Amino acid sequence: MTAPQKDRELVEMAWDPITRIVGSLGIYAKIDFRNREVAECYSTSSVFRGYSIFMKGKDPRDSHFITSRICGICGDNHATCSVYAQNMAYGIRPPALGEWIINLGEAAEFMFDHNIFQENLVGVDYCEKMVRETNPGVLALAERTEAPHAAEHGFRTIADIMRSLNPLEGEFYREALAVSRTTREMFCLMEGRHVHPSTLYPGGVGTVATVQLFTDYLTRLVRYIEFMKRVVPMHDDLFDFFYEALPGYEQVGRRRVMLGCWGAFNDPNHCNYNYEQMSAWGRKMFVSPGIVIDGKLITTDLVDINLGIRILLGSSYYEDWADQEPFVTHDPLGNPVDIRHPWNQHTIPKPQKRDFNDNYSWVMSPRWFDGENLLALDTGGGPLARLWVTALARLVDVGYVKSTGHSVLINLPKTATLPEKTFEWKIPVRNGEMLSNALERNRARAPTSRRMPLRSRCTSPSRPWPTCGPA
Amino acid sequence: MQAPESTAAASEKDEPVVHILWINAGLSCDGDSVALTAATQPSIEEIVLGALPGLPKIAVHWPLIDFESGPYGGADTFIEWFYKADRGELEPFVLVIEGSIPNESIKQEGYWCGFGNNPETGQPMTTSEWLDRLAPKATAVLAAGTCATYGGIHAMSGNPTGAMGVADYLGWDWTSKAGLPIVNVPGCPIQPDNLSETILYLLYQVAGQAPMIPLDEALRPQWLFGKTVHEGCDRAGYYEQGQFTTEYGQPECLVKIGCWGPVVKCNVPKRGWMNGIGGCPNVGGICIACTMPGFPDKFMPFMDEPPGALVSSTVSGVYGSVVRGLRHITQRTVDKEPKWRQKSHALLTGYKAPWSER
Repeated sequence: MTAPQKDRELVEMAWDPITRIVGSLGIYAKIDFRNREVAECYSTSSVFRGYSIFMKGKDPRDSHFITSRICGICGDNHATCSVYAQNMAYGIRPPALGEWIINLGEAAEFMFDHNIFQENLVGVDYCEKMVRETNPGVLALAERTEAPHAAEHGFRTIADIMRSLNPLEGEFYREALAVSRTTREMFCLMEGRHVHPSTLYPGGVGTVATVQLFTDYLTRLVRYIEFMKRVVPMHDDLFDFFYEALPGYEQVGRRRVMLGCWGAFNDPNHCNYNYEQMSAWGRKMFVSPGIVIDGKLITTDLVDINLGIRILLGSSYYEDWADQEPFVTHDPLGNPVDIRHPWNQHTIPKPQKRDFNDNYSWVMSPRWFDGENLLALDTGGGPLARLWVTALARLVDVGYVKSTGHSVLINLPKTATLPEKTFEWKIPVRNGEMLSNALERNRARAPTSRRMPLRSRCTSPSRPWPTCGPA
Repeated sequence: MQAPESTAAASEKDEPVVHILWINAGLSCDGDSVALTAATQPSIEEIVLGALPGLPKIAVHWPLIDFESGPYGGADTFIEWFYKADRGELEPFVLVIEGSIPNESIKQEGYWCGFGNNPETGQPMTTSEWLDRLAPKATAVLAAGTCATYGGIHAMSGNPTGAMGVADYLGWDWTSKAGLPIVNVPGCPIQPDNLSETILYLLYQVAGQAPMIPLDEALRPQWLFGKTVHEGCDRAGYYEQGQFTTEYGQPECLVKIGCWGPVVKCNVPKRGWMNGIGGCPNVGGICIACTMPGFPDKFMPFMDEPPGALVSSTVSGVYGSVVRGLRHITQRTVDKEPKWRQKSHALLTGYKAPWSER
């Protein structure tokens, strides 16, 4: 917000509900078109259900069945976390095979989510139909721009890629939708049903582990890998084009690099669900936990990450609980637990009129306390934080995936018609600045071997930007 | 979302369009929208592109994957279709509701859930107000998923919002202006093909190609919810033989670890979750009865043996062990080949060759 107030001519614009997203999101903005800035931006969620209220007093073994229903696209992640929490609370460690089945289910869920989100939800923002309506000059340029990786994905120009992303009529849009179903079949093999799993329990899974189960999963997985060998270079061509075609596009959805990742995929050889040893087994996860601030990895300790979380009321429709008796004052290691930590949270709804000068959302404001400041970490939609943290932490090396300290190498095996292939996700840097923005959040869903162009067409200084890009 | 205009379609511009207006802003998780993208019998592409003969031309206004994302008052504004329907400018349309309906009259101000804004107040338009406005104008109302049908998870005991199903809100004997009752397709989430198939049926009915949709007393399509989980479960054979598991990951019947399949109306074990893969008890997950009007309260704690199962499983345990013993005897016999299949100079099958002696 650099322009002085008197120069401003603010245009109010609102999108509510936002389409192609799961959840009830509305965006209300004041835009200074002359200075090409979003001057004010409010995001609101318009639905309250009350999980933390109606779960009180219920049998704790029911909790993962209930929390799954919080989200209809990543219900599995909520169920899985609830199962982890129950394992810790009951002091139980599932058999290794049960842990692997959960990991395979989760992995399929990631593949599904990235696939449908990238191609069928977000991808539409970059399709020919959308670009023709919003930016015909960019489409004309795309028609003239040869796709650098045409040999790998088969689309000659960038505009050909855009056409293939057109909803329903685009060939790639339809193919991706079909692939998203295959990944969901993989999920159902391991966890029964998508999106709310039927076979997850504290202490293990109900899935019957047979040779057939893993054959059915493996055959689908290698077909998916073959598909991704074409898709990753296609995304690179499309996203790199936008940087070139629309100078300043790196500012879209750009935030200070403040990423939080809780880790993913426990290693049954190390994870014993004991809180006292959580720092150690957390670092053995196949996606590293960690916090990255301004590009620096400041911790990989799950205990620190957990204890730093604060739930603020922000601009939400709830009453404060700070004067209530805390549920927990210390964690099992003797560390103090803050009254605003989620373990001490009360949910006290106070429905009221929406007022953008006061309260305007049913969603509270989670922050992470670094000892001095309450930071609005984001996850970059998940994949950006997972890759960034894993790249810097240098804790993962399983052959197929290896952290180098500055990148993540992904080695894909030979598949039916394509040879072995290595992709490398690198910290996104452009003109010497690290980027956590809309395009890089998208790109992280399909990591890459790209080189960021070094020359610049955009000389505007970086600035804080509200998170209302297409991601 | 609408099929692209082909040259053939362009010449039929006057063909009436059936609009599908989808409100996902009940108390939901959007899981039923996500489920529909998994459907293959038919798929959403096939419905929208008119891939099945006799389907009317349709336009879907569905938040989950809608192209339209323009701002209020600008081009391609998603919510504008709902205002149009409210003004009576969309005819005909099918209204799909996803999520339970909170009781907005139990609080002093504000809203539990809204969908777009009320142009008169600038405040969110509550989901119940949308129902009040649009239900009388809709040709059919489809409640998708257990939240919309019967209240579901968000309507469990202790909930703060007073959530209920669409039929609880509009009335169980409500009928549309075309004479259709509310159509309930429960499931948490909904089985993908159960939803796409019901949408297909309703479109055929609206186009005059199908008779009145057959519904049961809980307004469910009869052909989808007429049988119990147990009747379609591939583990029911274990039940009959009195074989019950008491731990996870085993192939036997799950009743003793919390499966409600014997009394739950649902076709998932038979149909699978998608493309015949997955499900619940058929793949090792207890049936928590997520399609039922009594869900979840009447089935909790989910992981305890249902009270009625003790008697029936004890009976089946006695009877089943006898049956199993007898079957073992038969099995030993049928597990061996007939004795004439062997290397020998003599043919032992009973056939008399013309060249054999005598």
